[in-house]
Amino acid sequence: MERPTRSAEELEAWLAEWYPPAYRTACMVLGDPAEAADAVQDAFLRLWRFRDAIPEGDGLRPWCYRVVVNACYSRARAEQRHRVRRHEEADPDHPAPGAGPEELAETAVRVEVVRRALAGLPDALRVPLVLRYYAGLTEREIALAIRRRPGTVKSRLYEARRLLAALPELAGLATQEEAAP
Amino acid sequence: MITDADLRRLLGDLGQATPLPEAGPEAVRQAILAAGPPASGASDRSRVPARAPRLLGRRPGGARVPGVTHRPALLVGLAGSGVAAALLAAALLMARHGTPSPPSGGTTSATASAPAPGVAPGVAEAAPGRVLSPSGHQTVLSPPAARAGRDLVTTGTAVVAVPRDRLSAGVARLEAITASLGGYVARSDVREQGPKAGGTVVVDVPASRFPTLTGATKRLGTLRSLTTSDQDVTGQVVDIGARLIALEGARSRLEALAGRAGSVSALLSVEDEITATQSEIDQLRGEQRTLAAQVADASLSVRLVTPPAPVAHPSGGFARAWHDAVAGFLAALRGLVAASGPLLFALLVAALAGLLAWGAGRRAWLAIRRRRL
Repeated sequence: MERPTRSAEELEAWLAEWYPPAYRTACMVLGDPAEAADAVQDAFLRLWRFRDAIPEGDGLRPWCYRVVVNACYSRARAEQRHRVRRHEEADPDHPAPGAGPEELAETAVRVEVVRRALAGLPDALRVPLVLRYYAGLTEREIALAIRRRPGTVKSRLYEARRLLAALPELAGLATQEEAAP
Repeated sequence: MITDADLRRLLGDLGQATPLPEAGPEAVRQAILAAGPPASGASDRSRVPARAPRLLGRRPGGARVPGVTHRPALLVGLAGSGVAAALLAAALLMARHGTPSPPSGGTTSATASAPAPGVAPGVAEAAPGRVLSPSGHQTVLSPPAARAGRDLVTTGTAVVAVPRDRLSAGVARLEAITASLGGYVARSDVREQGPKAGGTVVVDVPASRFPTLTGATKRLGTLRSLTTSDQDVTGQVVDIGARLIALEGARSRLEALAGRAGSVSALLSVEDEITATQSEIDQLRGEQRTLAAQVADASLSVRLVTPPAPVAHPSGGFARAWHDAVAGFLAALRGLVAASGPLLFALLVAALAGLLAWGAGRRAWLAIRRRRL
């Protein structure tokens, strides 16, 4: 990911590249699309304001995700309400490439199972899990993003994996994939 | 057993299945363009110190540096802003005591807007009833419904006796009066049937219409009692306003500090401080809105009471005779219980007198026997 410059023309390209993963990360953290949209807007305003102060290279991604995660926490604290997990259907306009009707239905079921499983995790475990397996950050980058030691991140990832593995419906998804030719 | 590959695939599917908001990126683009150029100093990286995290007491990765005071520079800055806030609060209190605010209806929302691009902070003039903070944000100091320069929260309690058959009409009339005064029913708990008919209706009206409401309430029935109170929250309103100004100033300084950060970890630390400061600002704004609503609207709790229902007597015949017999028995029993008190007292006194007399008589008889012997 490139650091955006002052150029307004490059703003569109920067948003097109960075907005989708940031928004989807916020959705997985907050569980509410409306709250996630607001949090991402707050985060982007801050990212844009301090873009020139960020060095290139390895520090950019964890810093950006940290801003997004902080914005999510701020939204959750400001609203002070229980997060309503909205179970949205899979978007029929964005099907998996080459997928038939049966595969689409299976995908929708799988997505719903994963969403419920994520919602059942505590915040402290959900955030590093999403950053690791969706955003693709390393453990050290996650430590920078959530301001914890790498050892803490490792133990939280282990605990999150253990809790998810204990869910029979999620274990069944993994088993189906392993069994599928 | 769930592998890392399984989790990547499952979360990737979840991400792909999450639709993006249609106006999301466009809304962000508009917000960014409306925000204008970044804070000054953000692009001047030649003045960036080499090891900024030490000042904040943090190592890269978030571990605390032992022996280093946590956030010393920020504490100094915030202490300075606290002194400035105290002086400002004192000046504002003095100004408010001599300047009555014009009454007006409606509630106030504490909104802060960033200065327009190209306009330097502090140049724009604050709107009436607001104060311009150093960052250019406008903060509401007092809601418009303050009376005689004070912010008062007015509440009242009234007890009105209404005939049982006019209870529902009385409740409807109270609700209509409230609506005509621009208010609303906050709570209604009325039982219109049964031996315990009555209840409480809590209504809120604009503070300026409170005297009209209490006057109209008196005419609902027979006024048993009416108490009103005005709680002065001027100090709280001014204090919250001053604290908001101080926090917004601190946030502006933190944002400027972030623009001069020399490393990712320093920037991450400042980012956390900005988040924490913003949380405090949001909380204070919520308190400010709550206070403004309480000052703008006065609350009256009206308790409607009804006389007890009359007991139905039988007309005549055996039922009437039985009723009279039961009533007579109960009356006699009541009289007996009432008379038992003095009777028991008299018996007690007689018992004591008897005991004393018996004791004296026994001593005298023993003395006589001794003399004979």
